[in-house]
Amino acid sequence: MITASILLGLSCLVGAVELTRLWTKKHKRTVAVYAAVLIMGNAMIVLRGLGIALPNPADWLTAALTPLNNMLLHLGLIES
Amino acid sequence: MNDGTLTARQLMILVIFFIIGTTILVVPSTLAAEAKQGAWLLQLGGTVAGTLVLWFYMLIFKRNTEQNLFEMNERLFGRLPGKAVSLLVAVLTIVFASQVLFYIGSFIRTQIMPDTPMEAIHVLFMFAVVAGVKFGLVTMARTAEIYFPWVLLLFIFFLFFIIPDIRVNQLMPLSEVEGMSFVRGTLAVVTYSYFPLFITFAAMHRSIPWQKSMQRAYLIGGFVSGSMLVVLVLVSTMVLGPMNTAVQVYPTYVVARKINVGDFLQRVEVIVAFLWFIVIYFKLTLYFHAIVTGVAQTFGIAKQAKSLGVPLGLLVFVLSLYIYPNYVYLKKWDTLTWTSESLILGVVYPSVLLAATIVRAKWGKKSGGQPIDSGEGAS
Repeated sequence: MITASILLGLSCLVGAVELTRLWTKKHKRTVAVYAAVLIMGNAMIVLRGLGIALPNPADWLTAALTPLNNMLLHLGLIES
Repeated sequence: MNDGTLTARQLMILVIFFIIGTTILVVPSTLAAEAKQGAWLLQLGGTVAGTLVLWFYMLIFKRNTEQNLFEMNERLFGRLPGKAVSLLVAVLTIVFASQVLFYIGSFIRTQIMPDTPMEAIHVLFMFAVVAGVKFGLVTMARTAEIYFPWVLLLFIFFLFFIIPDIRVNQLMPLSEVEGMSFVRGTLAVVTYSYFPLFITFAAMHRSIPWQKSMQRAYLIGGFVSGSMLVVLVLVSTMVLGPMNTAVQVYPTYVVARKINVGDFLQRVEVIVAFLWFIVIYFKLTLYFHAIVTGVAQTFGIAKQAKSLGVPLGLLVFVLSLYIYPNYVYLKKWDTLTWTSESLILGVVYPSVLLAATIVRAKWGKKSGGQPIDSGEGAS
């Protein structure tokens, strides 16, 4: 929880500085991408701080690659 | 993100650091578990195979100069499919980067600072990485050039002082390796060290003015780092014995702990840890550079790519906290999913790129101009 609040504050600070710089230079699309990714990261930190389990992308990769994994296992190229 | 260009020497050093990267932590125990005293033969096989893999990547690099991986995607597959592939590669690289961050974090937590929370270590490491990317690739390369002699010095220091503990008979009986475990070990080495090189170095291909010397730099870099790893595997097998190497999580660190010169120079294992911090830092930064370039290129903001450093760094940091929930998960993921994923990104994807490059070149010659984009099928 403490980590979450410190990081939230810190990223808002850095975000404010960098976003104003980008905004004044009229890089609208960069501002949009920057803000989107920053909000995503912060949301994840806050959710983690609240003790909510987040989905793990490594699991998605495993799910997507299971057929290939099974094939490699069958061929004996990997051993679990 | 084209801020200056790299020299062949800088490229070679970056290749060496990238290949040694996390491999140095995991490979000795994985290989010893696979082939006991024959582990070094597997690493040798992996080095030779890996150099061939690098030579294959050269075919793509020399045909697509002056553009990075993501520009290649858009040019070869068409604009939208290319962007989709770029985004997919960038997102996958976020996962790998957070895994590398987890590796170094868990090493520090288990061996050096057991009471420090994981978040603190990861945040500090990520700060340095974001700073490195913000300073730019050339600054990174020069830093690598400064650190390279130190890495070599520490490596030689380590080898020199461990000589008294070496028992050559630990390597006997020689050549007891089975055919299939040789194949598995070689594949493990290539997937850990050489396949991830494609996406990372293709992402900074724009900063590499293509000459013959660059090709040589890649191959020499691949070979030198492979040989360093062979020596390392040999030493840890000879000092700890094959069984002990297989059960340790960080065998090289345990080897360094055994250094004892005249009961005076002891407990210098942190020199090995320092070596790892340097190489893993560069590996992570190169991954992160690929992420930042990829995301920026996908959204068409390549000129301001560096400003995305902080938010993407935050994302990598958060993911690194739970990407590997525990050690069993890590082992399973690394042997299963990492191998298949690595085969796709390191063999299938480059092959598709190479085929598309050759087809495009032929087609372009026939119609006598820049061909119009058409769906060529993204991978």
